Amino acid sequence: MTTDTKKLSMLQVLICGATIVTLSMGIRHGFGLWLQPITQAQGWTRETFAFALAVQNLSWGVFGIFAGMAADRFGASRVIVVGALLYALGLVGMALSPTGLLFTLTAGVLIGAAQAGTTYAVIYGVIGRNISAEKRSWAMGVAAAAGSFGQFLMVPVEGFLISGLGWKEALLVLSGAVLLIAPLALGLREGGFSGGQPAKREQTIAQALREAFKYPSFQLLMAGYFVCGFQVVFIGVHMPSYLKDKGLSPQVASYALALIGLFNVFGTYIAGTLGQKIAKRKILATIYLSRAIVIAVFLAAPLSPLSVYIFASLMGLLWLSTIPPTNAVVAQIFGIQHLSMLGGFIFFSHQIGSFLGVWLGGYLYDRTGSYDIVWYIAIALGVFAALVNLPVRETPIVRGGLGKLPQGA
Amino acid sequence: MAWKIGLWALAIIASLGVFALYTRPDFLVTLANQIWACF
Repeated sequence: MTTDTKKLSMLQVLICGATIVTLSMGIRHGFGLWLQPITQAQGWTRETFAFALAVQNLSWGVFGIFAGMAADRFGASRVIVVGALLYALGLVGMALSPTGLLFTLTAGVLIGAAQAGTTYAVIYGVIGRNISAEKRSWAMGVAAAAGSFGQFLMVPVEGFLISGLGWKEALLVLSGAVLLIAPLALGLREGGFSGGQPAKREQTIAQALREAFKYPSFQLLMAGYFVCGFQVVFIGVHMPSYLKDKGLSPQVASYALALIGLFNVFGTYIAGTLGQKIAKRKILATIYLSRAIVIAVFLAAPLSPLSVYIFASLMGLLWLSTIPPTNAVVAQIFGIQHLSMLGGFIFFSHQIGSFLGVWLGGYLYDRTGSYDIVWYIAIALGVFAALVNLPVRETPIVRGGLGKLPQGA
Repeated sequence: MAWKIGLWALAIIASLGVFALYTRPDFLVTLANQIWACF
């Protein structure tokens, strides 16, 4: 975008961006509640449903890169509007798909693409361009906390919608609700992208990508985020089975989910706020090391409902708290011109980790009859991620040997 | 300062309110059975 355009107010960016992320992250988070009603009504297996959601996660990761490129070039508001329309279409398709294939294309591919256009990478681009570096990490923390609150809030709300209206009608109501994102996107319309013209930038996409992928700190951040995806999704998906195997009741797992959701809201905010005062690489290393320690102590201590609740609360604090410092450090190093695209690449790495966390958890459980090996891998990866984040260089990259700093860094 | 305290109070009340939604026993069982499969 051009540098001489008027910036949006911080309050406007935060209200619109946070509400969009609340809706987008929240609606998606309760999809598991539709597993039973949809598979029963359509006569499908669990695998059909689970496969569509696995495709959704990968689609989110892949389209995230392109949504980021489009947002950096044509403005985030356009991408968000398209994302909202795809989201609504995907939810209608989820309700009305008569076959597993169509369900995969709508609930999987379409909603995955919609999430790419309406979640963190795109919103963080707007925050990066409109909020000064002094408050950027904090603002990213606010947006991440809003997304976390959306996840926490929408699960029970969607449960009530299903029990009150029926599963199909609940999806149609949500498809209407998600369209609220479109008018909110108008509040994120930036002057530098007006008239439908591509933004003027100092670097092409190819140059920005070449620069980032050759820069060791970017590779280290990607490696760290991979671990984040692995740990969070492995624990999220497989912990209930682990607790069940150990003889604990389903209620314990549910309270654990609620505690993770509750503490996640505050953890993401705190991480964003700390990012203004402490080096982000140190925050990230601390988060990953803390996760490794918390998991190790949880496994070593006698298992009880209390130990599960303490574990869930601590993991909740560390859950999505990697998002604000990771994205803020990318903005700090590379500037804001290609922030959404670079954020999209880092998020793709997160989604690969997520996929492996789910898959490896199931695979090794089937092979060995326990989750022990995957827990140990999660601990080792936590230590690895802490170590790889420590050498990250947060100073703005120097381009062309001329000491030219990236815009807005 | 007062508005900051107000915002924090609002955030904590809203979060605890949502947490209360998770305490319905029938809903908890539904959550435990289904939500984790697609986290």
